[in-house]
Amino acid sequence: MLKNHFKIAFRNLLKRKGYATINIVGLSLGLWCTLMIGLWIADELDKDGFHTNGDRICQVMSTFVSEDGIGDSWNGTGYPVGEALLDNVPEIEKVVRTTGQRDVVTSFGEKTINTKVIGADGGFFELFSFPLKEGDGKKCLNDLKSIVLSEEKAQLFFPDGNALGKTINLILDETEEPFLVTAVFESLPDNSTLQFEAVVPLDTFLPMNNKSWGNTWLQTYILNEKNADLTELSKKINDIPNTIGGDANRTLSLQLLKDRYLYSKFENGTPIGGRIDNVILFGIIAVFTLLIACFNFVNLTTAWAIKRSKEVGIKKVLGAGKLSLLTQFFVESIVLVFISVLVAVVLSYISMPFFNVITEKSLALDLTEPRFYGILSTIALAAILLSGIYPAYSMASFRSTNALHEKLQGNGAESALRKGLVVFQFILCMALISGTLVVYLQLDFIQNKNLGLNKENIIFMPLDGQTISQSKTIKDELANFAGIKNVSAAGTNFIDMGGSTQDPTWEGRPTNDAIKSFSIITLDFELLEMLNIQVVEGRSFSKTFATDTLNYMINEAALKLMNLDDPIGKSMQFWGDEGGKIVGVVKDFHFNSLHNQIAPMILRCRPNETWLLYIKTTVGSTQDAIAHMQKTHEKFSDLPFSYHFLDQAIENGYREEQKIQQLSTIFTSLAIIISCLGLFGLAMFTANQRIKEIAVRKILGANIVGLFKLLSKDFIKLVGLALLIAVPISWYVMQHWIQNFAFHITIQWWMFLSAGVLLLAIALVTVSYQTLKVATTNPSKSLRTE
Amino acid sequence: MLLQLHNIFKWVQQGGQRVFLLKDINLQVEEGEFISIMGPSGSGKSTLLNVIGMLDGFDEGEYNFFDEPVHRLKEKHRTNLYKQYIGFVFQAYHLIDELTVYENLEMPLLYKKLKSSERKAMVADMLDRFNIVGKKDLFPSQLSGGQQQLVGVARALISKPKLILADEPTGNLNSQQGIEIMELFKELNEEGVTIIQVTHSENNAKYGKRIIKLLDGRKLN
Repeated sequence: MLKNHFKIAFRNLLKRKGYATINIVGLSLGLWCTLMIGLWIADELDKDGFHTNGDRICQVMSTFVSEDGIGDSWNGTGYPVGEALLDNVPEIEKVVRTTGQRDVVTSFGEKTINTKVIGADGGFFELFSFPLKEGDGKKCLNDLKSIVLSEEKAQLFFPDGNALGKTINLILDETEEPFLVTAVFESLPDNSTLQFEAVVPLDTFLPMNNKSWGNTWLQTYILNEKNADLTELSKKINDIPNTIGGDANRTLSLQLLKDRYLYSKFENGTPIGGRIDNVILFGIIAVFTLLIACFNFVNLTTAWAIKRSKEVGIKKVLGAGKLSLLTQFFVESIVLVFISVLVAVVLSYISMPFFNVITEKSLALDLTEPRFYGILSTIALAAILLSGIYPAYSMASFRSTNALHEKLQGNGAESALRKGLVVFQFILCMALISGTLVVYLQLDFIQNKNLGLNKENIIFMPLDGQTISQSKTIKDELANFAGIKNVSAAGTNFIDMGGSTQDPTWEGRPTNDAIKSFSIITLDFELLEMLNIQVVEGRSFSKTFATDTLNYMINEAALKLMNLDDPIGKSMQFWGDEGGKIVGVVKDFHFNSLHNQIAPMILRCRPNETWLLYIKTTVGSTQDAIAHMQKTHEKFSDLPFSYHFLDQAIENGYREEQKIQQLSTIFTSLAIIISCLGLFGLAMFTANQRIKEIAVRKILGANIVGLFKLLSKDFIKLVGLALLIAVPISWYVMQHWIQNFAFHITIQWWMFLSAGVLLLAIALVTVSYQTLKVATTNPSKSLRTE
Repeated sequence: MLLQLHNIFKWVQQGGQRVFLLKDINLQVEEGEFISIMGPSGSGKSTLLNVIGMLDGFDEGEYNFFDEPVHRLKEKHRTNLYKQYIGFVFQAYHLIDELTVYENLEMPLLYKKLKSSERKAMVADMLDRFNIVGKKDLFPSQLSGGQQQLVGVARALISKPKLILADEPTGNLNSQQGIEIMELFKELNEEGVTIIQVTHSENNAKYGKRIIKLLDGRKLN
């Protein structure tokens, strides 16, 4: 019997090639899309999942609460936090602190390379599951001058494989110091958010920092007791900076390390989202596409089922039970889904490299991995259930006497369902199109927004330990090159300005003034002019005023925060600098991502504290200028040369959004293609059904335009209805999304109108092929009786 | 007695009015009979045949088949009953286009859940008897109308039914093919199979031992 089912299924597919192709292509595209997103989501969810103690490792988050009550959370904690936790909270079993990752110049003999180094407490390799290839995890960080190298770096320095016990040199704080290699760790998994190439004891970095509660230069990880309640624990440690450290503005909380990657956005100390938003967004897109594809399948299958009604009728007359018919049609759906799954896997395999370029991941179709089969079979099963059950049920329920006479055309419920599914598909499509359009417009807005500065033709280049002492000479040498317009410098990386300070006080500040934090920018003369940042009040720093290396400028946001009527000439102090005055106010400008508001800034002119050269090149001579920069660098330093373009660096702040834009464009196009395939199939079916009617109408004098209208009308109505329903939904969703940006476009009616017109046009073109074909057929042909 | 219809009524609701398809039909059929049902288009011939074949229900009356009260049986039970005792032959043959002659003949046996070896033997018998062994691997579209109907009759017979219901079996055939099929029916009847056929043709009706005339859903004689 089953053999018979398969036989009929395959012969049917061969007989109705057009129908089968549309069905399989549509379903494979949908499955492909869902599979890719599924793999991507699985990868996102798997971050830091490999730690054996993963359910118990938490990161300590600190929240700084300013006077206006808004809490700003991040993962930096002060030096004493770790010990205080271990001493005061019995539920905490272990504490390990690490520093952030730093690029450190490392050398062994003739070989000099940059290595990404972190400092960590001794228990590091016990808390985290980073297996050691050689060495003892318990002892390897005991000695202050020890270093644990990655497999790769060890291989680079010691190709013969004997790294243990060797001494390599690190340049820390401008001095070269020897470190003993005590262990080598295996390559880090890709899904680890902690990435580093070498580990040294934490206290190596202590001389450059301090042990205060306020200096939050460390990440603190804890291992909590088994089955500890995280919320309870978080409450317990909440007040520790105040009770033990006397820092009343800071509170602590805990977050599972596994959750750090997905929930990185905090509001008032509690995680509110982050990458998880994208995971959910793409999860929704995946479900949408799968639904669209399955609805297609249902639509086409039930429509074409009418052609199969005779078969059903005969079988019923010959004694087939409902169950047998159900099985048969279900088997057919399974066959189709199975073929589509195969096609989807092949498509995924081919497209994976391109997908990886966009997502910056290294996903692979690993046929040996159970996870892959898990995802694949979940999707396939969903597809089978979604697309198989209804058609099978509907076909098995045909009444035999009607079925034999093919009297099934007028089944009202069936065609209502079909229409409903088409409407639903196009609602989803419309939501996807308008969403993509808004994302696109927003990113376009960001990229073309007037940032308040000129970022064109500007290159920045960090000075290193060897060149920093020669900065004056290097600047002169660069400035004399023909392709370089001028050279300046800064002591702050604008792209990543880091923290802020509450230290500044100024003339006229009320004694009971609220706590106010400012970003501090350190720069050299002429940088403001180079970047074309406008001065709105007072004047810019100038070499003609010798005291300007003590003076300050502020931006408009700072002026507002400081609440000064006449800022010029007011004195200001912080960080031990005395005697400085405010000499000017600059117009607000952006470096940071437009996700955030412009921070209040204080600009200080301290040429001696700069370490980032800013170089403006003349148009067309960029390559020459870079070559010259490299030559100059090599004259003074044997360390690697690096440089960045300012405009690219700024754009990099929107990588996530660009990724989302590219991905959603791709998946939206796919969803539209699938929906249109379905519409195409339905149009083909309707045209087929009405072929005789059309012929009669033609003989009675209908023209092609009239017939075209007649046939397209129904479809266009459906799509139009879908648009009406979709607009408020997508408006609501996009309104929500756009709030992620401090600076954003306003969503306007024409965006939905154009998305709608686009979709309608696509639908019309899709339908017209079939309708025109029927409308232009010679009526005598279609009326010929058998 | 094979079957008995007692005061059978069947109607449809149309514009608030009952339109009768069958009106007060009384009929007794003994085993071994050959009955022809005649009447103009729309007189209810096919409906009556479908009611007898249990493919259609009715609204009023009683129907006993081998002493089983069909009007009281559940669908599943009814299916079993006609699967076991009734074979159908259609005007449009109604062979499954995707299956070969052999597979079409095998189909009813599959639904009776017979073993593969038994099925093989029975299909081979049938092919032999109707002289279509050479055509067993052809699809219906590769056969002439007469040959298709031959397969249709063979399929109806393969499960050894007591009763064959034929709805204008020769309607799509030319006269020579028609005669062959009617001769075949006559032969089968002589072997003891009960046959009820619907026909328009006086000549074909004469093969029947009894003729029932219908007009507007009513039995005339």
